Amino acid sequence: MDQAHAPAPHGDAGHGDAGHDSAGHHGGLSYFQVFLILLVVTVAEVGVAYMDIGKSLKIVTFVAMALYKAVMVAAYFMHLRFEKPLMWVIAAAPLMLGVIIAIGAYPDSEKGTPPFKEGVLDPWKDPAPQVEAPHDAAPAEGAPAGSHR
Amino acid sequence: MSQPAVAEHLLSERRPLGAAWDKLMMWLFLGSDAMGFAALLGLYATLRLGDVQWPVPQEVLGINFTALMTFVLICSSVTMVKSFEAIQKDDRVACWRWLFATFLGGVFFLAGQCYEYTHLVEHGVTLSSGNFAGTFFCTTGFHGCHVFGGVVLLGIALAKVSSGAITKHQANFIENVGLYWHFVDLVWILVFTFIYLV
Repeated sequence: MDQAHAPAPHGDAGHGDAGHDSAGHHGGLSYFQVFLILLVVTVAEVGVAYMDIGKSLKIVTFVAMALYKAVMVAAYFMHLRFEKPLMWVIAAAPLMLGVIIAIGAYPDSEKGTPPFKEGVLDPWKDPAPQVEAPHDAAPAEGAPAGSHR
Repeated sequence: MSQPAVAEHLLSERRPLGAAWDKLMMWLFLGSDAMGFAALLGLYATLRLGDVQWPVPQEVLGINFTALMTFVLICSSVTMVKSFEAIQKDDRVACWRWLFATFLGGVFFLAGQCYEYTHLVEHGVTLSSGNFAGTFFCTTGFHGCHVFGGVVLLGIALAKVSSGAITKHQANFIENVGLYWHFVDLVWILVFTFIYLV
């Protein structure tokens, strides 16, 4: 990277800064090269979609391609490669959130909790088997199931 | 800190993360906005993993037309970055042209999405057709709203550039519009992959 393309030092950047200039390549790939890469990967994605290579391999390939494209857009078009590392954290944090949500909510999916669908874990319809409760907390006789709600 | 002191502080040369304030605010906005998409895609993943009868998306949706829409959106990202490049050189005419090309790309994408929705609804795939259709319409619809917002923003930028309100010294406005537009493109790359391809 030559001096003209070097990012401006912290606290000294002007408006329209980010350390990128109008050259369009910044010592790395040019915008057109990035465009070609994105185009080729997109075409490859569609090609893989029609290939019979097994579901798992397909998913891994698609996710890798998508992440690669996303990083290219962020790094080159959004000029993130010239930003400070903390800006990457701001940009990538929501991605982590998506993964956390998917993992955290998975036990609530149908596959994760089949007993719930069968009603076994439904606290309102099928209460847990009666256990000898302490006499001071015993419900009144004849009280409807679930009346504690 | 008194108001004048706050104003002086904000207008000072001190730049957190080395970025102008407005750009930093745009990044923070994009980060928070991305959380909405993260939630939608996370929910999509959860529902899909839990449903053994989830349809093969490309059989229901078809991907050729959507791949074309993706291509147009990627092209519009290139034209957007070229408009920023032009305004940095103080070439307002070129900036306007590239912006207009970006604007057209956004309009094409929206038109394509309208066509796709119409086609699906005519064939009985609606918001209430189950988890697959529900998550599809919610996620792509949320993204479509962002594209619409971007097109409006591009319209404002076009008007400002034509009126001479944007010059080399206000290039940060075009840069921020560009950040938003590239974000829309980036999100679509993920939506296209997870909703249509996987």
